[in-house]
Formats: sequence, structure tokens, C-alpha cells
Amino acid sequence: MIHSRKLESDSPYLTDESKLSGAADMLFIPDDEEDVVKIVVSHNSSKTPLTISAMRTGVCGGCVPKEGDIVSMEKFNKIIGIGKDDKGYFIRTQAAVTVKDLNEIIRKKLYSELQNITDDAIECILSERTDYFYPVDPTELNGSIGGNISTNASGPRTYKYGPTRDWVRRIRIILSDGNVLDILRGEIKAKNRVFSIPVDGKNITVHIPSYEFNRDVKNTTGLMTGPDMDLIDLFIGSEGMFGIITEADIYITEWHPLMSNIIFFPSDDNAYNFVKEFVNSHIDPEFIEFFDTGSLNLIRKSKKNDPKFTKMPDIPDYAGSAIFFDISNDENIVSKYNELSQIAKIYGGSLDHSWCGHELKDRERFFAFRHSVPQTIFEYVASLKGSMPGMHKMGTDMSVPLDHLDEMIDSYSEVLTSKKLEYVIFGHIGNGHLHVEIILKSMDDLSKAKKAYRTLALRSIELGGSPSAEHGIGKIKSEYIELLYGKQGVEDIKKTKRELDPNWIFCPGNVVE
Amino acid sequence: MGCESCSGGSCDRDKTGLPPGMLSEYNLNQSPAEGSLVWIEVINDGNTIMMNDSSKEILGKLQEISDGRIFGVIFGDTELKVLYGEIFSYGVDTLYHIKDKKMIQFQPEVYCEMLVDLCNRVMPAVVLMGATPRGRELAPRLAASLGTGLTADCTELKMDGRFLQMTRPAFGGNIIATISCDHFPQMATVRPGTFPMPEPMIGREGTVIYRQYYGSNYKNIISSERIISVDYDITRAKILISLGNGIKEKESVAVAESIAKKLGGMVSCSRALVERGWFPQSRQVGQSGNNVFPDIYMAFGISGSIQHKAGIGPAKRVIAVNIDPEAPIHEIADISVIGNADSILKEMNKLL
Amino acid sequence: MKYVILVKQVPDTTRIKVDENGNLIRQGVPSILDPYCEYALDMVCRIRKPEDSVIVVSMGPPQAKESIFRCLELGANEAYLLSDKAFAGADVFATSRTLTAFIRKFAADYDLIFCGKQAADGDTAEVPAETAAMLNVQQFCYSENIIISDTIKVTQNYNDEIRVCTVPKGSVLSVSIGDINRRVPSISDHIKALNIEIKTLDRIALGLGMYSVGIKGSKTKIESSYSPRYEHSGKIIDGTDPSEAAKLLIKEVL
Ligand SMILES: Cc1cc2nc3c(=O)[nH]c(=O)nc-3n(C[C@H](O)[C@H](O)[C@H](O)COP(=O)(O)OP(=O)(O)OC[C@H]3O[C@@H](n4cnc5c(N)ncnc54)[C@H](O)[C@@H]3O)c2cc1C
Ligand SMILES: Cc1cc2nc3c(=O)[nH]c(=O)nc-3n(C[C@H](O)[C@H](O)[C@H](O)COP(=O)(O)OP(=O)(O)OC[C@H]3O[C@@H](n4cnc5c(N)ncnc54)[C@H](O)[C@@H]3O)c2cc1C
Repeated sequence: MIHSRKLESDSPYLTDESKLSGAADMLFIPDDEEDVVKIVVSHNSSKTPLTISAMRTGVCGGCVPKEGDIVSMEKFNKIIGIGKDDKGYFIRTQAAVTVKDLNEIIRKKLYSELQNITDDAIECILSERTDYFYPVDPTELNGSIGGNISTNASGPRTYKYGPTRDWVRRIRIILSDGNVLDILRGEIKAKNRVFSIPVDGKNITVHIPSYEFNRDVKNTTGLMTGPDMDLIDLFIGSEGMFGIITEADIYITEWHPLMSNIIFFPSDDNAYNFVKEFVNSHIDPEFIEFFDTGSLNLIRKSKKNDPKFTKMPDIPDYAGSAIFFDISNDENIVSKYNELSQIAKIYGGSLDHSWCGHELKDRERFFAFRHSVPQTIFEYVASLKGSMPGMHKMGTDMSVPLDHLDEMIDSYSEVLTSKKLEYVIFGHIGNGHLHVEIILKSMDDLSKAKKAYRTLALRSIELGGSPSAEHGIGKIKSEYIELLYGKQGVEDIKKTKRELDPNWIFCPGNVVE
Repeated sequence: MGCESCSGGSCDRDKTGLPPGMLSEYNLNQSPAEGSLVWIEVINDGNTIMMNDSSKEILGKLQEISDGRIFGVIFGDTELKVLYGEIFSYGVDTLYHIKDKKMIQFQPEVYCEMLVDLCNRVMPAVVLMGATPRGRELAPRLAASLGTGLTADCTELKMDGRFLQMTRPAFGGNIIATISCDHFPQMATVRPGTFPMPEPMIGREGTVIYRQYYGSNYKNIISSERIISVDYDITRAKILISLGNGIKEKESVAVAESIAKKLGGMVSCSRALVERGWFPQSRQVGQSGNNVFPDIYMAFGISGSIQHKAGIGPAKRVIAVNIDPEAPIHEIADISVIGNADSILKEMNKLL
Repeated sequence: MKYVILVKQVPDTTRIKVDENGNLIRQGVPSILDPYCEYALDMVCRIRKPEDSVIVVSMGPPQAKESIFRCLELGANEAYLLSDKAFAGADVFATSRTLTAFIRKFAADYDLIFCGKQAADGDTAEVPAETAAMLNVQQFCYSENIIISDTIKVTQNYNDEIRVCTVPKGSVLSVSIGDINRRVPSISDHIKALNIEIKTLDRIALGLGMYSVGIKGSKTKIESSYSPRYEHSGKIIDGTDPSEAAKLLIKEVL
């Protein structure tokens, strides 16, 4: 059954975590795929825009409608089954299942009520001695699988395991004409940048944009491209431009016991330099995260007001920066630590000046600690909103190759200091992807920060990076497409869009205007 | 009361003419094998001397479930004499008063030695005490010394002849277990506030027997300070306004105090606010704080962790004010208000 | 000085869930070192001198080694696991007897024994005093602070009274308070712990008879148990408007 209602102007459906607000007439909540098809067909014939919405945890306004109606996939929250192929086990889920739910099912092995997608997959996984997990760990675990696929979400562990893209086996997607496309990775490949997609007895021809998509760094700027790319990759990261994902198969992988570590350094550049050697060592961390002096001070301050703030002991006074990483807790751990000790020593670090934890309870504390920086900033910004209603968070999402990280950091300090802006740096240093959060104090700061942001985005491109590494483009960053791919790039994307969605009904405003 | 010349105690010879130690009305149908012995904890802050409520509740329950004789034990000096009448009125038949100035302070080792001696003498089927901090320290020492089992913190007791069935929560209240003991005496500590406060039988009489300790196992207590005054003891409050981590404004503490005053209640808190330094630990409710038994418990900005809930088990009515509709405190709340704790407190104070 | 700390591994009771039939779902519930035991260990680590020895001992199944390991990371330098199939189902009496046997046989020259106030699963808070009684030594429950100079002084908190006592050598202390944020070891601490062997002792090694330990040596018996299910049956009030909510609340309490 399709549930529908008129939207009030203050409806939560009109915004997401970017706090961008939009406008729409009607909200449709389908129960099943048949409902979705009906909604799509009617919108397509009346050429009414239809913005796709799920858990609304995006930070770029992807699910915020500009006009027309909203279709919310929230009822597609069932995990369907388990299968196994030559790449391993996969979970079949509906689109609105959250990463958290998925993790919970796998961790607790609550498989008994699921279907066997391939013969005996459930019996098989239950008899395995190892545990399994889904390695993509976006910071926001309440995001949906469908949303994660649309934005090719990533997290700290992308360092070792890649982004969402690498874990998607199959998707089901409803196209603008109401046809259902069931794409299994490996089945349809492009020839010379052209797809020929069999739909409803015909073949649709779709052209891949001509720009080169940077896969050397973490990157979610625009559609992926490639001469003979897989069709599934065109949809992954397409931010709802081409259709509605209803179902997906997601691979899971073997879990191994982990050790979480935080090692402190006297200053910020000690830590960067340490990381450059760390990535080339034999230590093989799962991810590498960084906190600069400013971030540590932010935590120290919050903890003073509320001792329970991070559930962690106080940060030692000698700490000027910190590197957080997980490693496999196996029989080689001592030799890994010995190597770590050697590298750390060169940069003023020591294994005595560190924290480690292997019990789940402790490892969770480490992650909460990591989370506490953005959380503090978020709360700070929220507290300003009272006196400055237009205020929002200003954080960067730029990646550069590790070799150029120094230069990027220099630019951050140059550009932001010259504008007298206060900022903290933390994040996925292992991927050359740092978040720079600007601590805004006034509306004037906000406009300065916006200008600075553009300069920095250009700089990241110059250094071979991406101005949008993990959050996607949505509606608030569409200018970067042109920045990165030029006018031609924008035109190419539009062409692809028109081929798949001639009436331009899906999520207008996302990625390209 | 009684004749002072008699070393046996308050024998009431004048009235009954019975020898010392003899009950005025001896119930010949009572089987001594079904007798129970209860340690009666006394609150003594220098000014006020009273029986604690927990002992009264235990005595009330015992009368309900057993026909056996009830032996009471108190430790302290002559100042305790004022309590005799009250102790009998709650159902004690024979009261052992272990009389010594040094016994005024809690001396678990010495109390235990004396209790072992008494148990060997009266052979009770059951030994009970309140699951107060002192009861929970003394009972296990006694159980181990007697070589018997002990069930902690019971919330229900049933008796079949001389056999006791004890029910208690464990796993932080996640499990309720019924436990029996195949040795005598069967021992239990009883969670305060679980059983109803009995009506005293004014004028009821019993026998007091004095005993003395001749050993030297006293511990050396250098100093002792009462931290709960009898008039601000959250364990005795009928209404509690309890504040937790969801309270953001320091001002709310004063607001809560003012509301409590107007309602005739007191203010308590979760551990989070003790950690924050906003309250002394004597105001903390929970497993590492106090067990409270109010008629109304109002939790403002308290999530309801199991350690916290462990302290409010028997509250008659729980009202939770929390911004999060999923907070576990709602599981035990009779009324859940989903809203901001600081501002609701402020409004309540205005309205009262 | 030689300190012995009795520690217990417990399921993380904050994560226990109950199924529809009122049974505990233990699957997937992680085990942790009981927080009060950790407070006891922390207290010892605060007062110990470098030359002092800190022995941890736990009676439990082989998995309890994980918690013992944590104690080693946090500063203990000797560790024993008392483990035997026959120990299963021990009540407090049998547990204390087993621990006492260990102390007599393997650590008789100890100076002080530390325990947690109460373990999160059994929740009885009885082991410390029973062990003290069996060893015939003094006990100091609810200890919050300890000072060691010529004499040992401990501060005990009875909720309504705080008192300071002199502690004779040989006493058993139970610790009731500690830092809410569990300590985190350093990588060096972890490596050091990896190099200490956790010695396992069984019933025979402790010289205990079959009928002194485990379920057979227990005085109490669990007849039945169930998990209470809390279902929200209370009223839910929307408190978006504080003054409306305040009015309703006042009506409820007056
Ligand atoms: C061994 C041990 C013993 C312990 N003993 C105790 C004990 O005796 N007593 C005790 O209390 N704790 C004890 N704890 C700690 C316990 O586990 C919890 O950490 C503690 O109870 C949490 O306190 P809280 O509910 O106030 O805070 P939190 O768990 O932080 O909860 C705060 C609540 O406030 C709500 N909130 C936030 N903002 C607002 C707002 N503006 N308005 C309304 N609501 C809001 C939140 O939704 C949340 O539910 C113990 C822990 C251990 C390990
Ligand atoms: C539902 C249920 C109810 C129970 N009720 C009772 C009961 O009423 N009476 C009874 O006798 N038994 C009872 N038991 C059994 C009891 O849990 C076990 O006997 C347990 O060994 C006693 O410890 P505790 O968890 O209560 O420990 P506590 O006495 O609460 O623990 C305090 C401290 O003693 C030390 N300690 C405790 N156990 C160990 C250990 N194994 N190794 C090393 N140090 C230790 C630690 O320092 C700990 O911090 C019950 C068990 C269950 C499951």
C-alpha cells in the first residue's frame, strides 16, 4: 500500500544533516516494489520531480527536495537473506536497512529467519568458526544501505577495505519508466564508454562521461567513469540521479580480533611524518586516523565540563597530536609493535605514550573518542544557531595523495590563518583525507570560510586529489563538478542523466543542475 | 522497667513473678526448631537512637510467614534500653542485648563472634538481617563462620515449616532467582523497602537477655563521621526529585531543591552528577550509592542504567522526564514525559 | 608488600537482553573484568611501590584468562586462574573456600587481600567477608581510600557514615569506588602482560576434595529463575511545552 500525505513546511522530510531546507508537495511511502513502480510511473508521466529519501543522514542535501514530491524508502527495512558465491558470503537487504542493523544481524548471527539465497548458505555460515562483518564503516551508522550505495559512502576502514562500491554484488533499481533493472556485478560491461542495457526487451544506450574519474584517492565527486566499466558502478555513487534502489546484495568478510591503538606525538608534523612511514611498514593497519593539537584541546575542554564526555581517561599533558589505528590482534602483534616502536621513536613518539585496547567495550570507547571531535563541533554550532539562525557547520571533505598531504596541510594553515579563522584538523589521514573543521564565531566567519573553502578545493584538485572524498556532491557542492571536470564534464553527466531519466524526474539538483 | 538488681535483664518480676529470661506468656505451641534470629540494626547518631526500618519490615514479614519464635539481637550499651518496647512491639519474643560501649560502633568481627555463639545456643532455623551496607557485610561473615549458605538482598521470602525459600534479583536485576539452602540456619539479607512496614503492637512484651563479649577482636576505629543527617536521608524520603546527566544547567539543582521543599521531598541524583561534583555521594541513588524507597521517584534526565535502577527497585511510582523516548528508564516508569528536564523543572518550580 | 586481588570475569550486564520467554540471551554478550574488581586493582596500583608484588587470582572458566590478562596490562605482575570442571556452579561459600585454599597454599605470606565490593552477575557482595571469615582475619568493606605509611589506614563508606580504621596485615578489603572511565593500558603495558604466564590451578593442585567445591560444595541451591520483563505500561506525555508538562506533573504528585 502506498501511504501518502501532504508535507507541512516544517516537516523533517524537507531537510537532512546538512540542515539545507527544501520544499515539496507530497510525501509517498511505498510498502513494496510494486508501489514504487506505481509512484515512479505516475510521476514520469506527469513529469513531476521525485526526490528519493531514506534515513536523511546525508550531509550534502541529496535527499532534500527542491520541488515536486518525495518518495521515502523507510519501509524497505528488511534484511532478506544470505547467499554465497566464489567471493564469499553476501547479505541481501532492502534499501533502507541501516548499516547498524546489518552489523547487528551479522554480529549476533541472527540468521535463522532469513532466506537462503543460495543453497544452504545459512547452515553453511552458522557452521563456520569465524565471525563475519561488513567492513565499510561510515561514521553515521544510521545511514541506509541504499543511501550508502548512492553516495558510495566510506569510513576509516576504507583505508584497508575500500569504499562501499567494492562490497556491492548486485542492486535492484527502478528506472524512470518503471522498469526494474537487476544488475549483478560482472554481467554488463561498457564497450568504449557506451553501455547497451537490455530493458524490457529493448536495449537502452547510455554514454559514460568522457572525464577520467580519479580512483587513486578517495573520491565521490561525480559519476565514476571508465572505458569498460561495470554497469553497477555507474549507479553506485550516482546520488539518486538514475533511479530508486530497492534491494542490494552486500558482501561481508571474515572478522579477525583487533587491537585499537592511539599513539601520542609531541606535535602535529611529527604525526604526519610518522604516518608517511607507517603506511609503508609491515604493520598493515585497518585504518589510520589523526587528531591535531586543536582537536585534542577541544576534547580536553569538553571533558572538563563533563567527565563522562568521552568515557576515556584524560588525555596526557604531553600529547600534542595523536594517531589512532586498529591492527589485527594475532600472533605477530609483538613484532608489529616493535616495528611501530622504531618508527614512532624517530618522530618523538613512544609505546609508553600510547593507549591500546582489545576488548569490545574498550574498542568502542576508542571509537567514541574519535567521534567526540565532530560531535563537540556539532554541538557548538548548534549552540550558535540560537543567536545566528543561518549558521551551519563548515567542514572540508577533501582528499589528496599522501605524498602531497604536507602541501595540503600547509595550504590549510596558510589560507585559514590569513583569514583569521580558527580550525581543527582530524580524520582519515591514511587516505590523505583530513577533515578540517572551522570553528565559526560569527556570520562573518561563515562567509570567510566559504571563500576559503573554494580556494582549498581548487588546491586539492591541483595536488591530484578530490574536493569531495566521501560525502558526495548533493546539492551543496555541485560547483565542484565543473571545478574538477570542466564544462564538458557537466554536459557529459547531463547527457548520461537524460539517457536514463529523459524527463529528469529523479532528485533534480543532485550533482548537476 | 524491670528490677535493676537482676543481672538477667528486664525481667518484669514485679508484674509476673516469673524468673529472669522467661517470657511472660510463653507460647508452648511454638517450635523452637522454627525459630528465627534477626539482627536489629540501630541508627545512633549521638542524638537520635532508633531501630532501622529494614529490621521492622523483616520482623513484620517473619510474623506473616512463620509461627516460630523470633529472637532479636542488638549491639550497644545501655542507651539502647529505650528501644526494648519498640522492638517487642514489632514481634520479637526474646531480645539478646549484647552490651558493651565498644559495640556502639559497627564491629563486624565481634558481632559475628557473638552471633555464632547465639546461633549455637538458640539453633534458629533462619537468620535474617537487612540488606543494608552493614547487614551485607556482617551476614556473609556469619554465614561462613557457621558453615552455611547465604542468600543476598532478597525481595521475597516464603516459609514451609522450617524451610525457607528465598527470592532475589541477580545480574543487575536481569534475573530473579529462587534459592533454597540445605543447611541450618538458612540465612538471608532482605532488601530494605521491599516488605511493607508493619503496624507496631503497642504494649507487646518480651524478654531481654544480656550477654557480654570477653574477646579482643575489636578493630581499631580511628574516626567516624555521620554523613547523612537523620533529617536529610534520601533513603527515608517519600518523594525524590532525582537529577541526572541530562541536566545541563547548574541552576537546576537549586530549582530542584526548591521544588522538593515545596513538595516535602528531597533531591537525589545519579552517579553522573556525583562525578560532575554537583552532589555529594550521599545523594547518589544506585548500586554504588543508596537504595531508596520513596512513594514517588521523579527521574529528571536519568537514562536508567541497571546500576541506577538497582537502587530504585521498590519505588512505588516512577516518573521519568527524559528527552529520549527510548531511554531505558521508561521501562520502569509509570509516567514518561518526553521533554527537556531543565525547563520542566523551572516551570514546575514556578507553578508550585 | 604482597597484595592479592581476587577478580572475577562477568558478562557485561549492561548489554544483557531478555527474550520473549524470559530467558537471558547470553549469546553475543561480551565478558568483562568486573568493574569493582577493576577498582580494587586500581587502588592497589595507586599504592604499590615498584618492588611490591601484585598477584591476581580468579576462579572461573578458561575464558576468564581474558580478564586476568587485563589485570596484567593494568599492573599486576603475577596471575592465577583457578579452573576445574568441578568448580562449576559454586555458590559464595564454595567460591570463598576455593579462594581461601589458594591463599593458604600459594600466597600464605600475603600482606593484604583486595576484592571488588560486588560482582555484576552474582551481585551478592558476599565473597570478601566470607573469605575473611574463613581466613580468620579482619574485613573492611566499602573501602574508598587507603593510605600506607607505618600503619595502614582505610576509609570506609557506609553511605550514612564514613570511618577511618587501622588495617592489620592479613586483612581483606573490598573496594566500592573508582574512576568511572576505565583505565586504558599503553602498548608497552600490553607487551609486558603478554610476557607473563597465567598459571592455571585445578582442584587437586589446591588440595580440595570433590565435596568442598563447585555445586557439591555449595550450601545454597537455585531452585528456579526467570527474567522479569519490563514492558512500558506507563503513560507517555509529550513534554515539548515545558509549562504544560509541568502542570501535568504537579497534578500527578500532589
Ligand atoms: C560498577 C558501577 C557502579 C555504578 N553505580 C551507579 C550508581 O550507584 N548510581 C548511578 O546512578 N550510576 C551508577 N553507575 C553508572 C551508571 O552505569 C551510569 O553511567 C549512570 O547511572 C548514568 O547516569 P545518568 O543516567 O544520569 O546519565 P546518562 O546515562 O548520560 O543519561 C542521561 C539521560 O539524560 C537524557 N537527557 C539528555 N538531555 C536531556 C534534556 N535536556 N532533558 C531531559 N533529558 C535529557 C538522555 O536522553 C539520557 O537518557 C555505576 C557504574 C558502574 C560501572
Ligand atoms: C541468579 C543467581 C543467584 C545467586 N544467588 C546466590 C546467593 O544468594 N547466595 C550464594 O551463595 N550464591 C549465589 N549465587 C552464586 C554466586 O553468584 C556465585 O557463588 C559467585 O561465585 C559469588 O560471587 P558474586 O558474583 O556474588 O561475587 P561477589 O561476592 O559479589 O564478589 C565480590 C568480590 O569477590 C571477589 N570474587 C568473587 N568471585 C570471585 C571469583 N570467582 N574469583 C575471584 N574472586 C572472586 C571479587 O573480588 C569480587 O569483586 C547466585 C548465582 C546466580 C546465577
